Amino acid sequence: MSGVGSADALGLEARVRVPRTAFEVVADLAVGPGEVLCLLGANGAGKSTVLAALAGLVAGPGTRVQLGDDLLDDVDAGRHVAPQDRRVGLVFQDHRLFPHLTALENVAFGLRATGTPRQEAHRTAAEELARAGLADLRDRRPSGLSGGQAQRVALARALVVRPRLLLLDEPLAALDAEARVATRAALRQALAGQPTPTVLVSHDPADAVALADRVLVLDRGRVVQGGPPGAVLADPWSPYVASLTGGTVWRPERVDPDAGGWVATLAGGARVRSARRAPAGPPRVVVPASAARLLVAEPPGPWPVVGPGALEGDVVGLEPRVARLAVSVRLRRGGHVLTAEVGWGDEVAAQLRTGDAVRVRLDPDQVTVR
Amino acid sequence: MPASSSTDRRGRRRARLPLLALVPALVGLALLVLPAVALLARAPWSTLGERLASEAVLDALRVSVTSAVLATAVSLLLGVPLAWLLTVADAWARPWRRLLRAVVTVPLVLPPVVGGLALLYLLGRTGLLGRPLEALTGVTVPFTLGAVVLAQTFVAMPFLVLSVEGALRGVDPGLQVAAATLGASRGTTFRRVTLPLVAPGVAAGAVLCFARALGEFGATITFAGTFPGRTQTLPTSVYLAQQSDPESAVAISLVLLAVGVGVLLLLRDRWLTGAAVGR
Repeated sequence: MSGVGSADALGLEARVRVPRTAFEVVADLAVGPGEVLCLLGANGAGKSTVLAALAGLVAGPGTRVQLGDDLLDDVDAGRHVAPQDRRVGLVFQDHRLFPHLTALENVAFGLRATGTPRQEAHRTAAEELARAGLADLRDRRPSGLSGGQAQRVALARALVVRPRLLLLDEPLAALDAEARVATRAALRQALAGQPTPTVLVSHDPADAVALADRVLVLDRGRVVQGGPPGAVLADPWSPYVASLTGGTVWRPERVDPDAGGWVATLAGGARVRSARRAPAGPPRVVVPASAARLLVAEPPGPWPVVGPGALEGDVVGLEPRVARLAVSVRLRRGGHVLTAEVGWGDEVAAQLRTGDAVRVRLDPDQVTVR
Repeated sequence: MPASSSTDRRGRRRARLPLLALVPALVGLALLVLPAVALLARAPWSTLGERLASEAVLDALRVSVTSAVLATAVSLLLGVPLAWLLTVADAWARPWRRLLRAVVTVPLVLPPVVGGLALLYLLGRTGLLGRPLEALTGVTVPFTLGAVVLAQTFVAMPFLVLSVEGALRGVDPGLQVAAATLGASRGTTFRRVTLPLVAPGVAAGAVLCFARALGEFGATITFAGTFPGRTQTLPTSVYLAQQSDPESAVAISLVLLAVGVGVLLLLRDRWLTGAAVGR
């Protein structure tokens, strides 16, 4: 975007090590100029801790943060640049606009705090608000802004000081569904022109897909998967990532070649056939929700004919989703849990009850093994 | 109409006190109100104006207002940073934290006359600091307007400190983090974010502090004496007049009572409700 100087844009290289009560957060990341990295993970996975470390708010032994040639943190060498001296912009889930200042004064705050005269600071802040399409909100206090507007003002406040690194901590999580879509679009537009590295923290895969160039998945403080957002979501390596798209991931005991494909054996002896083998990553069986077909015994009749390879199980959970009913099935062999989806129009959807015995047939063409 | 259906205009249920609590509550209220009523009953209404306009009373009023304003100013200057220190002390080991808090709040429970005596042993002509101070500069503190201000500050500042500390604890620490990431130093953050947000608490504390300073008696009379026109304040003149001229004592007492009630009404409406925050 015009007006944003890019001459001094630097890449971020960070080794984050922060001890917490239950586990240590361990994350190595490199983000290039203009690149957006999304840290994806469940609540409490350590995402915000990584951001706090990059902002200089926390650090543990072994932590090292470098922007270009500028060493911001090297705990072992005793190096630490204070948060206010880093020129690192941080946008919070709860916007944290100063309640006693107008939108314009909020945006001008960083400029004035670093010595820009009042008039010039206000002029630059007004330009930044106009650029973000927020010019008519300049005289409102935060209490007079909607959640989405407040978050966009907070972003303008962070950007106007030309940070060398932009950190976004769940910027959309506190918004209602409608505001989230609009604010996500505004965020996408603002980030498109940013010359700085950006690190975005989210637990919503939609943010990763819409905003990020690359994703790192965090689970209990560790990076468990990384790559382009689409690729990560299409090939989940862990139950957490699979849950984001409604699918299932199992750890197989072994994977053997089989006629026309592979067969994975799970603990307890359940066997899953697959036509697709992943080229890399940990051993896994990936079953998208769409790959499972549920069959219910007609009382008192026999099971419908399903061919070989159907898995026996019991319904342990039913969760209505927008377009479909998500059904959790625990397999009789080994107790593995699988998520299947049934369309609301399907008569099975109305019949199913928790505790029902079902059989599941998996489409080998949709199942991936490694 | 059954009691449980009693509601006000906005449809809210009216809470009722059981008799067992209502009676002691009313007795307690009477204990607070009746003395003021007795004072009003004894007021020399016909000569009130001329008694209050007497030179002695006007002198005492002038000394009282001047010293209470100065004591409030000193309390603001020293008390706001002290309140800040109290919030920072949360990170200290518990014994030190407790000691600091005890030292700051002890004037609230200490008889003011003891405070005055302690000030005298510190700053009197033979005092711990008073002797070297006089030797070096020739300045003596006791029995001056400065002594009145010091005595009032000693007694009244804790009210301001506690009020400001409470306000500081109410400020979202996330706002201070946000200010830091925008490049603001701790001083700038305090001045431009924290202080404006605690302004209602500072104002409430200053008003309480002023009212307490205006009514200060024990520490003042011990440390500053009662020299008419120099250190005699309204409360000390009440005490002296009570023996020689009781009706004037009542008249001055009415002024002090009116100021006290006025201050509390002002506080309740403007600051104690907290509605001023963010307005």
